[in-house]
Amino acid sequence: MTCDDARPALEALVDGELAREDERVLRDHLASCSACERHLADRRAFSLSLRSALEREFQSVEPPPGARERVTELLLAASRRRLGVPGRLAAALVIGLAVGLAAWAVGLSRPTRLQAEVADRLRNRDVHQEEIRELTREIGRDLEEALESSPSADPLAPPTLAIRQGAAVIESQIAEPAEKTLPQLVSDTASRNPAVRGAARSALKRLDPSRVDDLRRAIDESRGDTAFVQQIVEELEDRAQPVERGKVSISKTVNGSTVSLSQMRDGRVRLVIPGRTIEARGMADLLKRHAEVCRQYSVAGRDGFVTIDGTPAAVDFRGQLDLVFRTGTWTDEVQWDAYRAWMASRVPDPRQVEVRVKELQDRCRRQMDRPLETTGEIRVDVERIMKEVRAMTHQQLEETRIRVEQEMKTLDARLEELRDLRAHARGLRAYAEGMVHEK
Amino acid sequence: MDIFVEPWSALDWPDARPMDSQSLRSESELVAACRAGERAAFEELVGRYYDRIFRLAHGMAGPSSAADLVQETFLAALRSMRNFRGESQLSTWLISILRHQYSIFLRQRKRQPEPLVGVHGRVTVPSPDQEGKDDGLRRIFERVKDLPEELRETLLLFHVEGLRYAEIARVLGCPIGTVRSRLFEARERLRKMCESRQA
Repeated sequence: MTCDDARPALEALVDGELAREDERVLRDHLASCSACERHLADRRAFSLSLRSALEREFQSVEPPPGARERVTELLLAASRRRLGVPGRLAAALVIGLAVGLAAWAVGLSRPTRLQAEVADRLRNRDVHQEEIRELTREIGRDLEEALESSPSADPLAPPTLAIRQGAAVIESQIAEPAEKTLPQLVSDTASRNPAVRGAARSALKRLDPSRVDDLRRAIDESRGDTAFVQQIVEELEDRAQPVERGKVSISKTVNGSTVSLSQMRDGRVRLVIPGRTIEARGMADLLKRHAEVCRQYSVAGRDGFVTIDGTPAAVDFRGQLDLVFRTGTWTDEVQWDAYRAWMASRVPDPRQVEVRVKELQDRCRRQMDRPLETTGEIRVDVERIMKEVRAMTHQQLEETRIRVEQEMKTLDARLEELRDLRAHARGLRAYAEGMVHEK
Repeated sequence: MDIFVEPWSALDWPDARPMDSQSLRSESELVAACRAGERAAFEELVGRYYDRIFRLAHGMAGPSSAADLVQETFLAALRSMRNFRGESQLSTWLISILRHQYSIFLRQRKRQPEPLVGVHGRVTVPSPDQEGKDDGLRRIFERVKDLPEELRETLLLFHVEGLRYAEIARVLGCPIGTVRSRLFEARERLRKMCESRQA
């Protein structure tokens, strides 16, 4: 080891972050090099002073009085709003109980303890299932409202894309796992029903890469959202070849040639044109360094988005051209950066832009935190359950009890997930509607 | 010569006070209890992490905004608790959220961070014979404020939070090599600032 090799490692040694083997080599060098040894002593001394300096200052930092308690109370309040048991659920339980008791009362015999327990579980399960259906419908309605409230006539405007992206992500999560054939799934990707569409998209996204040929055949058999399904095919192909795995890619035929643009997970961008593959550090880099090729194949960037032959491929929400479009990546940050960019083109004063952002954020948050609706009732056919339970043998009752217990765990998790998604869908709707008001 | 140096994270740090016997539930249990909306869980969460997050927020955003920033951090954490998979420690996860909230804060305020210690920071009065040494420390600390954001942040995560390189890399979403070079750069700059002042 030379002194030049040793110097950068000294810092890591002082920080206790040197790998054991590297440390051994470094110690060997230090034993024979007094200059590096002095260097190490300097580094140690300075690091200690630095640590003391920071410790001394930060030790004396105290939160304002009552701040911890305030945060605890806020968390509790926010949590109550989010988890609030809807009134209709409580109502359904009461109705169910009343009807059930009446049914038992007029029945020939009192139920056994096991029958009563199984009936109770079945009823709870039905209430959960009904609530899941209701929540899914409500999310679908919110998303449709959000998608219809397009803030800009320009379909490529960042907020419009953010809404579409957000809705697509929520849609894919409200989907129930589908047990459909591939051609059915392909056809469902163009369904008007958001839940069906989301289910199909989600199922296709989870498809095993080994089924890519089946999917290609399914495209021939059935018509759906061609662009989306083609994207899935490319993703599956990418996944089948891990080295080439891209974060997102888009292919287009431009003047008879296939042009493919993809972005790797580390941000590198690859443009494949006939007979040539061009790599760049990012979209901005590609457009700058290969301007001529980009022009030739209609890969363009302007005002924050990238297009290939007019088809949007990327959106620049964060000052760097990033392929956000159709990646399934959507965060609050993307949404607010999009709004900020949109607002900046309408309001010249940056401070005013931030005021508007804050206002809409508050409005969205209020919508998200609103307790669940209490209107409507969930009706469960308790008599049917009673009848079903009475017809069961002891063994069937035992099996049903265990099975329903398992189902309930899944349903509970699903309900919680849907309540969360509903808050997001509401937030997205408020976001979209907020911009319509701005118009 | 003994050149063994203990990693900072292993040193006796003021925050490393023992947990009381009731708060021994695991992080995933704590998150589950928070998601279920238990008051005791929120109290435990805040009790365990408030001070650490506050100190870091204070270092990032200055005294007058620290409490607001921490409040937003905990509320954002509650909203995304279902995404906590236990792949990183809860503290590291909260620090990542704090960082995100801080970036929002910076965009909203579009101004320089305030001084690190101000009205809410109680500064202990040094004894006369400590003064000389403390002046030197104070000078180093003053220079920390002048570091660029990314260097200051990395330095605080290492020295104040006691995070390891790998944990900092996870929080900042960058390679470990970047953490190493930022720390090196931060210390070099501080050293030069201090030297030029002495000269």
